[in-house]
Amino acid sequence: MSEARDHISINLHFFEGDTFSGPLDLLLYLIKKNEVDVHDIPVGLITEQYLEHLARLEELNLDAAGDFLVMAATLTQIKSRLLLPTPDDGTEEPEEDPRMTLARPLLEYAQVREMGESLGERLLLDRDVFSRGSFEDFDESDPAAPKPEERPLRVSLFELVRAWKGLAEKIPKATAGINFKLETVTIGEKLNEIRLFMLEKKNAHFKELAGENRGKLTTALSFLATLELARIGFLRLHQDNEEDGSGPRLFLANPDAETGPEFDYR
Amino acid sequence: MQPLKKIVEALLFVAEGPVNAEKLLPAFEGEYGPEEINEALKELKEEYDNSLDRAFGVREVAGGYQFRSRPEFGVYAIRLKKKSPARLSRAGLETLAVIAYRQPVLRAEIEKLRGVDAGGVLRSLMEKDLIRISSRQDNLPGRPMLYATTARFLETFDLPSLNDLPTAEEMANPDPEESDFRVNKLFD
Repeated sequence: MSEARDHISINLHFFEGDTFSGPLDLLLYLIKKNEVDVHDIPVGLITEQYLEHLARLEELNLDAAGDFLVMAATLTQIKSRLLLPTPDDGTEEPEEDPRMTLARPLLEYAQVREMGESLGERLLLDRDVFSRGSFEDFDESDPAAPKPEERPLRVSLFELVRAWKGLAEKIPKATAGINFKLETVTIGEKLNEIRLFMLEKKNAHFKELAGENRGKLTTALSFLATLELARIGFLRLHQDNEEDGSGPRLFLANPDAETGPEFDYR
Repeated sequence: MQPLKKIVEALLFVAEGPVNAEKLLPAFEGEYGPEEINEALKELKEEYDNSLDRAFGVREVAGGYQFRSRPEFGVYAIRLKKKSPARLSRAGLETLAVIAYRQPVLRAEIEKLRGVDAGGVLRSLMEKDLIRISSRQDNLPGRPMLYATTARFLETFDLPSLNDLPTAEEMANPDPEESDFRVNKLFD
């Protein structure tokens, strides 16, 4: 394992633009910069420099600031343990050097970092090498290319969850007191409602069917019903503009459809 | 009947993703078997890689073969792209590396190795379809999720299979013939 530190290669360039990917990253950087041994870290010096960097990182308001602080506490704790005199009466087992609690994770992390770098140096698709058909996001001025609003939505589960969260935020919060009004709509009713609405309108914004000032259940059912109608191919969903928050635009998949599917959901 | 290698070449050209003998088999209606098709794919790769002076070659990725432009031409392709090329942060690459080598792996293990919260990075890797939730650790409280890489990961990183990830020894000492280091033994 000790050979590993000979292979710790550190790019100094990230200091300008890129930030540290974590506290271990910052520590490794300091160890390399001071040209010290991972197994024999001058804790006082490194702690001081670590805290200096931390002050600068905090200005960046990193999400990971908490993890950086934990490491700062660990460093300070090790430093204080080193200051305590060790009993030298020969009866007790010598304690492990407290700095080892740093060395092991550091060496493991150095390996992770090296593996990450080696992944990043591979011939990456859509960065170094390109395959046929991987040019979907090529020049949008191509007149034959579909306009952004006509491109079908391709979303992951996470984008759906985010979309739902966006909707849920707009649901009016119950004001003072308890709301006794029951929402009695079912998924089947909602499916049929949207089906009839869409047959008439041919295309519409999601917010039109979700409606304003609806309760949580109604909004959730509209959301699910829209997805279900898209899944069975009755509707197509498109995103007009990701920023405007109006949600997807719904199109009738077959504009000539007269009835569409019947639903018998509970 | 056209020569096998030519047919395979045509199919490789029109294919949308990496293809292997199994995927191409239905095109031959029993005329050729998987072994012969596979042989033809290998020969094609060999030809494109070594004897033909072309700007693209046949790469073996994610269990199949695919035409890909050579890296020296990537810079031109990128200029045509409207979006900037998919960039992975160092945090993303490190997290991917841990998952690739240790999968299936718990978020807690990733965070322990990197010393930093992994939530945001995992989400972004998941959105890029590079990792997935493979299962849950049933014997731990809360049945935490286990992460693994996807086929898209192999495609993106130009890897035929997970066994082709370089080992720690290969990274340090670039002679791939030397070691048969097992991938999942890397950290043990």
